[in-house]
Amino acid sequence: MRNSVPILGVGLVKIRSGNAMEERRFGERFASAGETFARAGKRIRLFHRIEEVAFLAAWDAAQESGLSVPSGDDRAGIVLGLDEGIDGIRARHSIALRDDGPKGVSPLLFPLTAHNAVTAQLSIALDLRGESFTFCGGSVSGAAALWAARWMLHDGRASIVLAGGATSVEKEFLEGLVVAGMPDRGGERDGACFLALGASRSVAAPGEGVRPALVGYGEGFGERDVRDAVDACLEDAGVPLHAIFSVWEATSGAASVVEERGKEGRWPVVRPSPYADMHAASFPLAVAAALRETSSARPCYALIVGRDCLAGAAAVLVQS
Amino acid sequence: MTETIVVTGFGVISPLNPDGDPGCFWAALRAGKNGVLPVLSFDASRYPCKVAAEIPRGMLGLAEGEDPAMQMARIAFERSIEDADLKQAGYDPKRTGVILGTVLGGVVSGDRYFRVAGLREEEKKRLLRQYPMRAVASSLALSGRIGGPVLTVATACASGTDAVGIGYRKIRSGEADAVVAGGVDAVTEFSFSGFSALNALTPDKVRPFSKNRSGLALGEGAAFLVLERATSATARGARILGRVAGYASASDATHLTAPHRDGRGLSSAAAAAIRESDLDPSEIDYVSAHGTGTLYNDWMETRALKTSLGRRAGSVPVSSIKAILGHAFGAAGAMEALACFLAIRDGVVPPTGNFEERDPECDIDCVPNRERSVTVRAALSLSAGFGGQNAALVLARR
Repeated sequence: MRNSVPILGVGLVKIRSGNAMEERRFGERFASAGETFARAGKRIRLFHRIEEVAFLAAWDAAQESGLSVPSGDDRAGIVLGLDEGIDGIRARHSIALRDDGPKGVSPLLFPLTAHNAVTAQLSIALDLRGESFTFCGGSVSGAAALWAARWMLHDGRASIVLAGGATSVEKEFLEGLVVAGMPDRGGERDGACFLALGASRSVAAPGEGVRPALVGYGEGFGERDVRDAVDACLEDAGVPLHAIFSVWEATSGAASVVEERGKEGRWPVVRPSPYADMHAASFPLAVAAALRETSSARPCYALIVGRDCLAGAAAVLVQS
Repeated sequence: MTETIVVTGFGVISPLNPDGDPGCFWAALRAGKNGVLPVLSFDASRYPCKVAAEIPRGMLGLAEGEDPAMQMARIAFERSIEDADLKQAGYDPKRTGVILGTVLGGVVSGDRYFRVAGLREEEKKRLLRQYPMRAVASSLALSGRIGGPVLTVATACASGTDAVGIGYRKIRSGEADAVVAGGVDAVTEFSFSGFSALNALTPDKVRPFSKNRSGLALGEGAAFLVLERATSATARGARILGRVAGYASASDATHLTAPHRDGRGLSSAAAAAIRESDLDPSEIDYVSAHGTGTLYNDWMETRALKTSLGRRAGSVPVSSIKAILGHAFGAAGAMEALACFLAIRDGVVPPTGNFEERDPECDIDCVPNRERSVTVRAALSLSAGFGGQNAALVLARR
C-alpha cells in the first residue's frame, strides 16, 4: 500500500436524546477518564457537551494506541472535522447580544464560537503540541480530518495523530433544518469518533498479524462527486475494484452511485452506517463500524463513502 | 526532489482597496494609509471601542440579503483566477481545488437569523443557506467550475495562512494540479462584541510593537493566491510572482485565548517552515508579523522570532500590516502572504503603522511608520490564533 498508515486505536461516543442507557454509560466513562486524568496531575475544564464527547473519544483512541497523555510531544497532532456542532453556542451568543446588549456577552462563551475551540480544548487537555487542524465540511468533515492526518504522518511531521469528527445536534440546528426545508427527525444527539493513526513504518511487524490501516482516500465535488471520490480513493490505494470486501454508506445520499460503480467490481451490497445521522462525526464513526464488522485473520478492504450537500463527496478505504 | 510550487495570480479586497484594485492595496500598505475608522456596519455607540477597518457595504455590490463575506470572497476569488489566467491553463477541473480559511464564515447571516424577530420565511431560508462555514468555499467552487478538493479550514486567526499552506501541500503531494487558496471574514457585531468582552479591542489606533499599544481592531476582506507547479506554470507561460518554499503549523497546547508566553508554538512553526524551505535564517530578509497590537501577542512574537531566527531576529525587518488594515481573521494570513510576495517583487517592505514608542520587550526592527527599500530574497509570514494555533509560511523569489 503506497499511502497506508496504521490505525492504532479507535474511540467513539454516541448519545441520543432520551436514551438513558447511553447517557449513563457516557457519564461513567467520562468520570473514569477524568479520574485517570487527575492522577496525571491534569484537570479537565470543558464547557459544552461537544467538547466532552470529543474528549472521551480522543481519550479512548489515545489509550488504545498506547499514546501516553498528557503527551507534551510536538510530534503528536490532532485533526478534527466539525461543523454544525457549535450552532447552539453561536445562537446563545447572538441571543445574549439581542436581549442584553454588549453586557450580556460572555467572555467565556465567545471563544467557543470558533470551530477550532473544540480541537484546541483537546490539544490543551491532552497536551498535543504538533499540528492541529479543524475542517468544516458538513457530513464529510471527518473524512477530511483523516486525509490530513495521513499526510502529516507521510510528510514526517507527526509520529501519531488523533483524527476524527464530532457533532452536537442541538435544537437550534434542528429548527434551522426545518426552516430550510430539510427536516431531521432524529432528535438531539451527540457523537464523536477518533482514530489514532501512526507512522507507516509501524505497519505490520513480522508475526504480528494484520493491523488495521487507512489505505486510501479520495474526494470529489460537483455532479460526479461520489463517483470521482470512489475512483480517486481506489487509485490512491492501488486496490482493484474486485478486492473490496465491504462497502459502507457513511452518510445518506451516496448509495446509488456507489452501487452503480460497484457493479463493475461485483461489490457486495452497500451497507448503511448505523451512524449516518451523526453529521460531522458520521464518517469516522462509519470507519469504526466497518473495522468492527470486517475484522478478520486475513487482510480485507472496506470502502466507506459519504456525501455532503455542500462540501461534496469523500471515500476512504481501510484494511482490517 | 520535490516540485517547486509557485504563485501565478492573486486577488484581494480590503478596506484599503474596496473596489478590489490590487494596486491600491499595495500602495496603501506602503504608504501606511490608515484603514481603521469609525464603525459603519452597526451601531458601536455602546462599546468602549468604536473603530474597525471595514469595506463600506455600498461598495460591495451586494445582492439583497447577500452575506458580505460571500461577496468579498467572490470578488477576490474571481480576480485571482483572472490574474492567473487559470481558465486558459487547461487544468482538469477534478484536479483543481479551493482551500478557504475562515473563522466566522457566514456568521453575519447566522447572527441575523438568530437575532432578528419576524423575518420572512424566504429571508430565513436565504440566511441559513449562507450561514454554514462550508457555504462560501462551495459557492466559489461551483461558480469557478472547480471539481477537485474543496476544503474549509477553521484554525482561528491562522486560517488564511493554513489555507495557503494546505493548498501548497495538496499540490506537492500530487493530489491537485492547481489550488486557489486564501481566506475571508467580515466585520460583524457578533465578533466585535466578543472581542470587546475580552477587552482585546483598542479604543483608538492599533500600535503593534509600541510600548503604549492598546489592543487590536477588527478588519475584514478576502484574499486568494493561485498555486501551481513551477513546471506547469512555466510551460503555459504564466507570470510567476514567487514560490511557496516552506510551511508548518504547531499548537501551543496551553490556553484557549492567550498565547504561550514564550511563543513556543509560533517559534516551532517558524523553525519548521524555514527547515522545509532549505533556506538559512540569514536568508530571510523580511518578516510579516502576526502583530495584532495586543500586549501579550507582541511580546510572545518577539520571543518566538528570537528563538526561530537566532541572531537574525535583531536585524531582520519585521512589520505588521494589521496596524492599518485591522485584523481580518481568516483573511489576514492570505493578505499577509500576498504582502510578502509584493515585497519580494518590488524590493520594498511595508511599514508598521502608528508606531509611537519603543517597547524594550519588543526589541526588533519593526520598520516604524515608513516603508523601506530592502532586497527580499525570502520572507517569513507568521500567524497565531485562539486555541494556540500557529502557522508559518516561507515565501521566496522563484
